[in-house]
Amino acid sequence: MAFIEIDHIRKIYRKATVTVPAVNDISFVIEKGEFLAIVGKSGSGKSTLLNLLGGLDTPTSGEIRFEGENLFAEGKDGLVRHRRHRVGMVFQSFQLIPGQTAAENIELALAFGGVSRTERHTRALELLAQVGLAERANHYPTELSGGEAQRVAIARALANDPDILLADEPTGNLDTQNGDIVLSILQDLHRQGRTIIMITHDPDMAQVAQRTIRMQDGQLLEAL
Amino acid sequence: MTVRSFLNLEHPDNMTTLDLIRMALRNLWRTRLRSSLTILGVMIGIGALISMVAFGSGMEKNISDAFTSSGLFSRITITPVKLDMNRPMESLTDTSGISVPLDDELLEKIRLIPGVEEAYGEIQQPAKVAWKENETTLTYTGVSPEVGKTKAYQNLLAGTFLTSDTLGQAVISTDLLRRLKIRIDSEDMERAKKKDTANIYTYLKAEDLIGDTLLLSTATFHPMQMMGALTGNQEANPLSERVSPLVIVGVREGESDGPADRSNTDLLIPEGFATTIPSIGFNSITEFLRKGSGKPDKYATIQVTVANPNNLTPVRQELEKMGLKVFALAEQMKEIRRAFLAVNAVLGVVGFIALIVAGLGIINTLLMSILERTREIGIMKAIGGSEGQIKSVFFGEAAVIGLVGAIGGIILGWLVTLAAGAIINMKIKEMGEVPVDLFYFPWWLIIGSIGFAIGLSLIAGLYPAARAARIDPVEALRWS
Ligand SMILES: Nc1ncnc2c1ncn2[C@@H]1O[C@H](COP(=O)(O)OP(=O)(O)OP(=O)(O)O)[C@@H](O)[C@H]1O
Ligand SMILES: [Mg+2]
Repeated sequence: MAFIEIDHIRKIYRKATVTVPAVNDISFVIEKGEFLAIVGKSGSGKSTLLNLLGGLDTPTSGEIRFEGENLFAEGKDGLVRHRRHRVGMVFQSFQLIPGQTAAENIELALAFGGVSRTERHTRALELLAQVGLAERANHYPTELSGGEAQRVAIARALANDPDILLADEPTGNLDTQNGDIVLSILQDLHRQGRTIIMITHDPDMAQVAQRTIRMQDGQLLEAL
Repeated sequence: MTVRSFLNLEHPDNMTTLDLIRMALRNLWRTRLRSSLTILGVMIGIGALISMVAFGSGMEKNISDAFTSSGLFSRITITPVKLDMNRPMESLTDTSGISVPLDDELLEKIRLIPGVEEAYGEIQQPAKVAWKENETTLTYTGVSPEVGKTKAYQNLLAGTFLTSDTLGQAVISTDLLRRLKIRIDSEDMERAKKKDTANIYTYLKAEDLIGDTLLLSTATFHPMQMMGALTGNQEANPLSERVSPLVIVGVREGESDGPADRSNTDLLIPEGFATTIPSIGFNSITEFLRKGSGKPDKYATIQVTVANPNNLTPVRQELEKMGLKVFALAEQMKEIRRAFLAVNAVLGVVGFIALIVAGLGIINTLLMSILERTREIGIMKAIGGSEGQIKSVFFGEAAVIGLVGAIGGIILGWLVTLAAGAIINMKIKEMGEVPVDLFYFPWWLIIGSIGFAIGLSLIAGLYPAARAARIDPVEALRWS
C-alpha cells in the first residue's frame, strides 16, 4: 500500500452543451517523503488534480487514498479534517487574508486546527521565524513583498504540522531570487521528511524534484 | 448528536465565542460606514418599536395608576333604578316593585355585607354657584364629613375636608375654580398670566381661598303653583330660588381630564346641611313618582368601598341580589385594558415593520460582505475552516449588529421619548394642565427588545451564513 494512491480519478465539468474533462482517468501513486513536480501546458488539469489531492474539490469518479483510506468516503467532515491536519496548501497568488497581519493569518489556521488561544501567537511567531520572517509578524499582506507573502503562506500551510505540502505554482508570481528562496524552503521541508507535491511551469524548478509527472488534456503522459 | 452539530454550527473549543466576536468586530470595522448604516437601521427599528410600545404602556399606566390611587378600583356605585317604560302605567306608583330607596336604612344594611369597608350616600342636586361676579352651574354633592377619610378624597391642595355635618361648608375642586375664573398656584402661573391677555382670570394661592365665601343658588319646584301658572295666575311661580352662603374649607385637585370636563364632586358640601336646602325635589321621574309613597331616595348615589379588590365581585353580586343598580369601574377597567392591548398591538406592529426593514438591511449588508469576501471564505476553507465555523463568523457579525443596534436603539428610543415628552408637556403646561409621564419603559420591554433584535439579526443572518458556507473554495480561490 502506497502512501497516496490516485485511482482512476476523473473530474468532468459540464457546461450547457460542452463537457470539459479537466482530469480524465488518472491513476498513479506517491510515496511518503517524495518531492513530486507536476508539469504540463496551461489548462491540462494540474490545478484540478492538486485541488482534489487537497480535498478542496470532489471528483466525478474515482478515489484518492491516503494510507489506504479514501479521502472522499466521509463527505464534508472528512474533507475538513484532511485540510486541517493532513495537507497544507500554497498558491501562486499567496491567498493571504487581506485584513489580517502575517501572524493573524497563521493564527486563524491554528485556530481551525484546534490550537488553544494562548498557544496560537507563540506558535505563529515560531512558524514565521522558521521562514525567516519573525520581524514581519505584525505586517499586513499589502505591506509584504511577493517573496515575503509566499513565505508567510508557507508558514501558514505548516501551521498544523501536515505531512503533505501541496503547492500550485508557488514561484509563479516571484522573481528568480525570491523563487529560489521559496524553493529552498520547500527543499528544507522535504529534507525534514514532508511529502511535497508542486505544480510548476519552470523546468529548472522541476529539476529540484525527485520525480516529475507531465499532464496533457487531463491525462498523465508517461512519467519522465 | 448534539444540537450544535445538528445545526452544523460547530465551533470547537479552539474557535471560542471570543474569537468569533473579535473577528466579527474586525470585519465590521473594515467596512465601518456600511456597518454603521446597518446598525443605524436596527437602532431606528428598535427605537421605533420601544417608543411606540412605551407610549402605549405609558397611557395605560397613567390611567390605571390614576384609578388605583383614587380608590376607584375598589369602589362600587349604587344609583337609583331607572324607570322601566315597558311596565304598565298603574304599576309605576306601586313603588314596592321598583326598587329599594337609597336611604340611611339601606346604608346600614350595606355596611353589614362581608367585605364592605365603607358605604356612604351622596346627595346630588343641580345648582348655580357664584364667586364674586363669576358664576357657573353644576351638580353639587352632599357627603358626610366621615367620607374625608376615604382614599377618594385624599387629594387636598389646601385646607381640610368638611369638618361639620350641618354648617354651610364647601370643599371645591380646581376644575370648579377654573370655571369660576380662578387659577391657583399649583399651575404654571407666570406662563398662564402671560397668555391671559384679556385678564379673565384671578390668580390666587389655594390657601387664600380658605375661609372665602361661595354663594349656592338652588331652585325649588312647587307642583301646586304649577297648576296656578298654567291657569293664568300671574302671581303663581312654580319655581323659587334660594341662596345659601358656603364657607370654603378645602381645595382639592380636580378629577376631570380637560378644561371643559366637570364632575359631580367639584363641589362637596356636608350631607346634613344639604338636606336643609330645599331642592328641586327630585332627580328622576322614579323619584318623583316615589315621592307620594313616602319612601323617597335620600341619596342620589351610594358609594361602597371594599377593603380588598378581590371582594369587589362578591359584594357587587350581593348588592344586585338586593335589587340595587350597581356600577363598578374596576369591571369596566377590564374592557379598558383590552382596548389598550389592541392599541399596544397596533403600535407594536408599526415598530415591528420598522424592524423588518432593519432585518432586510442586515441581510443586504451580510450578502454584500459575502460577495466581497468570497475569496477570503475560500481561503478559510482551504486552511481548514468548516462550514459551521464559516457560518459562525457571519452569525457573529449579525449578532454584533443586532446587539449594538438594540442597545443603541433603546438609547435612541429613550432620547426620542424624552424629547417628545418634554415638548408635549410644554404644550400641556401652556394649556394650564398638569404635566404627565407619557412614556413608560417596563423592564420586559428593554429585555424583550434586546432579545428580539438579536433574534432578528440571527434570522437575517441565516440565509447569508448558509450561502457563505456553501461557497466553493476552488471557485473562490480562482478569481484574484
Ligand atoms: N469550473 C469550471 N468549469 C468549466 N471548466 C473548468 C472549470 N474549472 C476548470 N475548468 C477547465 O478545466 C481545465 C483544467 O483547468 P486547470 O485549472 O486544472 O488547468 P491548469 O493545468 O492548472 O492550468 P494553468 O497552468 O493555466 O493553471 C481547463 O480547460 C479549464 O478551463
Ligand atoms: Mg493551474
